[in-house]
Amino acid sequence: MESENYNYFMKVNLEDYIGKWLAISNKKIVASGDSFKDVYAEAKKAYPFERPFLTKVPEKDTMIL
Amino acid sequence: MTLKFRYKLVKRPDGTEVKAPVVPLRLSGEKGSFDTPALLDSGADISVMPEVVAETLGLDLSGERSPAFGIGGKSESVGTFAEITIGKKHEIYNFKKTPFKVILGEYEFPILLGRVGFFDKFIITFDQKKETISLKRIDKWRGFR
Repeated sequence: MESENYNYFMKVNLEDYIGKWLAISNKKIVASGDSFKDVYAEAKKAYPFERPFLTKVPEKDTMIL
Repeated sequence: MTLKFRYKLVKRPDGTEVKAPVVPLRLSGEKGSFDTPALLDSGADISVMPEVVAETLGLDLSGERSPAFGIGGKSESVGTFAEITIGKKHEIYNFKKTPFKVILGEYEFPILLGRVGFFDKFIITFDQKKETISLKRIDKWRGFR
């Protein structure tokens, strides 16, 4: 679903989060780290009633699927 | 109607850039729900998610284990279903039981949308030059709309 969090994600520079999970709530980055579970939990703790936006920022290596 | 989304540009510390064809997806299960940019992967037979995401959503992982093959090698996987929602304000599509392969183990990767269960619901156009993705819903009863 397109949302304000998604629109924020599309604009923000993710250079500092390469390879990390990132959580966005209320149009700001609220958690980041190597573990999806930890980042999801941190985002839910910060905004318990919000649905977080989570993304894994691509690694610096080329991705071939 | 057609949904149109832009590629996501990610700058790397070495100055190079990655432009990823992602779409905003809502993933839901019995235990949780979150929004995420999902990578469109026309080479994937089916949509894929890591085990930790399936567990967090509370998806059924009791099915039969089977090997899944990718460019990175062979992994153990299990089939399941998740609810997905995609769209914009005036055009929203919800699919209650979208099939996924869950890659078992600790490897964490972004959500990939593959052909069965997703590409078969839309006509999808990648415009690499304009860096846009268009999705036109296929109506199974009336052809295109």
